[in-house]
This record gives sequence, C-alpha cells and structure tokens, in this order.
Amino acid sequence: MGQLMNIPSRGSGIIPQVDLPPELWLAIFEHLPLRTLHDVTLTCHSFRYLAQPLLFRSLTFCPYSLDANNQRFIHRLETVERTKHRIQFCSSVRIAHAVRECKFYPRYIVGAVLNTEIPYNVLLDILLDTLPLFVNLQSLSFMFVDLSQFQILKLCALQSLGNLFLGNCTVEHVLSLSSPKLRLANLTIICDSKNMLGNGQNGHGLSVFSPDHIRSVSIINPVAASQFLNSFIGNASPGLLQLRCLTLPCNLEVVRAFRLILHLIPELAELKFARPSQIQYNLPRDENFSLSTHFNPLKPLTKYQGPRQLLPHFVRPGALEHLNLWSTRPVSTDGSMSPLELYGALAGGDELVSVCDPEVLRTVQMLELNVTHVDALMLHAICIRFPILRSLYVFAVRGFFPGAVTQAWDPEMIMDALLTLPLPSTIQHLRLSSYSAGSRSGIATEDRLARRKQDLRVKYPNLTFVSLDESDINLTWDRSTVLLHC
Amino acid sequence: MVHLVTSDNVEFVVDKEVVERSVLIKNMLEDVGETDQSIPLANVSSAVLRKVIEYCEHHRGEPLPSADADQNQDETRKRTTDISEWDQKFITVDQEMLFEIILAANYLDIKSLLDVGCKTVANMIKGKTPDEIRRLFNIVNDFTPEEEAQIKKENEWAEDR
Repeated sequence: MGQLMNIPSRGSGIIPQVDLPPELWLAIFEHLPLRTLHDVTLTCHSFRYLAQPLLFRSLTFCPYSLDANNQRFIHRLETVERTKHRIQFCSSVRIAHAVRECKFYPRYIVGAVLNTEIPYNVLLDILLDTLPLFVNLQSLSFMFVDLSQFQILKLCALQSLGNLFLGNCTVEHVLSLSSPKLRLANLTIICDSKNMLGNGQNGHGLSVFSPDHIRSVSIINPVAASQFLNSFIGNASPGLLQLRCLTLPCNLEVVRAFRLILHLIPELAELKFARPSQIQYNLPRDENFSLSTHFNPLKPLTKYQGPRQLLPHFVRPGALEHLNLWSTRPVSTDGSMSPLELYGALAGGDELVSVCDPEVLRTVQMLELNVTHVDALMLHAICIRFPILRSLYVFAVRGFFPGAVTQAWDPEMIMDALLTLPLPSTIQHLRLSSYSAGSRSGIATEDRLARRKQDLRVKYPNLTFVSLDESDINLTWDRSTVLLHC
Repeated sequence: MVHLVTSDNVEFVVDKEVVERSVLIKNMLEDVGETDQSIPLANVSSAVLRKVIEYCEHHRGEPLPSADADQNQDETRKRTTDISEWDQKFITVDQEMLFEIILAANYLDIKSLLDVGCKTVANMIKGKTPDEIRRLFNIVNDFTPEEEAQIKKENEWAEDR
C-alpha cells in the first residue's frame, strides 16, 4: 500500500456495531471500479477522504491532436487552461500520493483544424515538473512525443518509476549524464512511423536507462531494437543481469545482433518475437534462419513465442512451459502454419521443415498455435509430442488460403479426431477456434454432430463444453466436477 | 500441534501446518521454537477463530503468497473481485461476522483470507447508490448540498474531457 494521508476521525459518520480501521476500508475500496468509487465519495466525509484519491490512480492527459501526417497540435486554448487546472488539482497533497500511472497521449478529434499557434508540448514541461509530486508513480506512458535532453533529465528524477512506455516517441540522446540513470523494471518502445525515428543524435535515448535494473524489455521496431542490442556489443558493461523477459521484432538483423549478446542476459526466461502484421514474401525463409551454430549460453527458457524456425537457436530442453508458435514461411500471409508444416516441425518427415527437439517440447504445459486450418494429423502430432499439456489453444484463420473450400474446418472430422486421439490426461483447457468455410450442413449432418457431441461428453467427463458448434470447439476443465469425481 | 487461546478464553489445538497460514503465528513459532505453551490471541473471539481455522484447513497445502509478489499480479488481483465457489460459501455470514473475520485476517496476517473478506465487502458495495451504501453500513450523510456539489466537481478532474 502506498503512502496514506492523515484522515479526519470517523466522527459521527458511521455507527456500525463493528467498524473497520481506515486502512482496511481502503483495501476494500481498491477493489472497486471507478463508477462505484465515485458513489462512495458521496456517502460521507470519511469515505470521501479515503476513496477520492483512488479515482486518480491512473491519469490520462490527451491535450494534443494529430493530423493525417502525424503533425501534433493543440486544437483550442481552453484545452491548455483546463489541463493546467487538472494537473494542478492532481498535484495537491491529498491526491498526488494516490497516482500510480500517468499517460500523455494524443487525442483524435474528427474535423480538428491544425492550429500552429499553441506549441503542442506546452503542457509537457508542466507535467514533467509535477511528476515528482506523484511519489508513488509506477508507470509512465508517452505517445507521439519528442523528449529533449532536458526533459529526459527530469524523468531521471523519478526514482520510483518502474514502467516506461514510449509509443512513436523520439528521445534525445543524453551525452553527459550526471544524475542517476532511470531504474526501470519494464521498458516498452513501439515505433511504427519512419518519421518518428531519429537520426544518430535523436534515437531512443537508451543511455539513460540503467541496465542493472531492467527486468523486461519490449521493442517492436527493428531500428530501435538494433540500437538497443548494439549498445551492449563490445561494451564493457556487465550486461542485463536482471533481464527476464525480452520481446523483439522478427527481423534477421535483430536476431543476429541478439545472438551476440546472449552471454550478457544470463537470467532470460521468456523470449518473444513480435509477430508482424503481415508476412511479406521477402521476409526470411527457412534457410535464412540457418544461423551458424554456436554455444548457446542462455539457460533453458520457460516461455517462447515466435517462429518455429528460431526455436532451435534459442530454446534448450528442460524448462519450457509456454510455447506459442507461428511461421515465417512466405507461403503464409499472416504467420499461420499449414497443418503439414506444423506436423513436419513436431513429428518430422518434411524435408523443408526442420523438426523441433522433442526434449524441448515435452515439458510444455501451455501450447498456442496459429494454423491455416485444423486436421487430424496435426492433432495427432500434438498428442505425441506434448505429454503433460494442460492448455491447448489452436487458432485457425478464416479460409483465405489456397484450397480453403476443400480443406476447410470440418467440425465432424475434428470431433472424430478428439474421440480417437490419446489427448494427454493432464489436459484442462482445450480450444480450437476457426470459422466454417463450407456450406452449412444439412439435417442428417446435424444429427451426426449431436451424436458426436454426446460421445465427446462421455469421453471427457471432466471437461465442460463451453461451446461446441461449427465455428468453435471450446472445452474447459470444470473444477467442481473434478472435485465430485474425487 | 499449536495451542491458541481466544479473547473469550477458549483453547484451540490446531495442526501447525494449518495455523501457519497466519504469518503472525508462523513468525511467533519461528521465534519461540517448539513449545507446549498456549499462544494468546487477545483480539480474536472463539466464534471468529473457528471460522478462520475452517478457512485455513480448507486451504491447507496451498502455496502462500510470497512477500515480493509481482506488482503487476498484485494490481490484477485488486482489479478483480472474483471469489472461488468454496470461499464464497464460507464467507456468506452476517455483516458483523464478516467484519470480524476481516479484522482477524488482518491481525493474524492471512493475506488470502483478508483478500476474500475485502472482495466480499467490495461486491456488496458495487452498483449501489450513495444512499444505498449509507444504508448498508449505517452511515449518516454529513454533507451539505454545497459540499456534495464540490465533490462531484472535483471527481470530474479524474477524467480527461
């Protein structure tokens, strides 16, 4: 619990038989949604003093707008005045201690006319000067903001800050840093606009982040990710000794740079490659990922999310619990694997697809797959390779692939497969999600499907059928049923 | 076995594993070591301790929340008011007993039970008007109409409009 203000005595406001001390009322109020908190503040003075600061736990300031070219501007002068008043109120002693999260985002206003008279960031400095008053501030997010050296140094004063999100921002490189570095635990940098990427001087100001404290880094932009990784190559720094979770873009240069710093991140447990919105034909083929073999100093990962082609390069057997696989083959338009490709990766037999090490797979408890469609062969491979699987989620795309009509989702075939397959006894959650691309079935088929559903209920008495229809098979472990069987 | 004596002077003999869900008692036992002496619980009545022990018995063997639990997890936990089926049945008691259980969980430092109690009260408050909340907890409205208007105005600063 953060710092508490002195509150007035409960006085005559409450006369219950048993009362609770303020800190316990506060613990209760922390579970309430904003709407209810608002109503609690209107009950009596005591509750108002406790509950009102909680309305300000997460602050979002959206004073500026963007035009079609990402030009930032403040639409009206009243916005400046109102935001100033708001910042001032939030910085009052009674409220400031409750602020945990602060966001400075643009707002999209339909029909707003570009106004060049007010500098878009006139309020940014006021906010940055106020942030130290938010003594319990943990998370800070900026979008479409340029942070100067001077402003970055103000951020460095926020020693309680744990999470920083920079979306399409430029952060000026700080050349000589006299103040302590930012001791962030989680850093996220997302950048999707070339205009926002700086030159050599205006990058992402990575020099101000203390590598000794970062536990999680997520950078979804190849240039920013390369900058980040390269800053450690050839550097005498001891590395990212606390880093446990890393998300990188799926880009060959980034992957190569990443391999060079593996020895600097000995505690890495979760590795994710961000899935591009669309796999381009010129994206890496299988052979591109045939990186030279070298000693892998990473300890066995607990979570891997990314293309199957990179799995052998970074995941050693022994600890993998959560696996999310997709593909970077050019034949796939959105990262989905065909059942044949997946079968090849899991069970072998496809000369174009390298098979995953079975020892890596056998510890997996949660498996998420993106496939073009589901078939019995693929489900069979899953049953063989994942003996202690607890959760299986298979997401199939709508039938926008060659032969979609003929190979489409067939609920009857899937139900047959589920009836005959040796699914691991550990399974608790099963979801196969897709869309039927074929025509709706006739009455005779409906009858057959109803019988299959009944058979499935008999075969999996401990699973609850959340839904079981032509578009979605969703089975979930029903704990109360299990308890009854025990 | 551990001997506990309540405020109304009733002695309970409880399995060490069960009673160690209370961080207060666990620390006491670690400090004192093996002993047959009773531990006095001056702030807990026998009726309440019976309920607390019932809770600890049911959750025997479950991992205790670590002191340095992930902050994100903590925030997620606060946002949800989901309570498991057994806990819901267990905590279906009158308001006086509910508050007593919360006080005891806080005193004995049983985080998961405190959580269940707080979430239950939060669920009772959810969706109620200020007037209904006052009736629920026997609260007297001590606001003037001007003060009420002022609070509504201040609350508006929470949102960017």
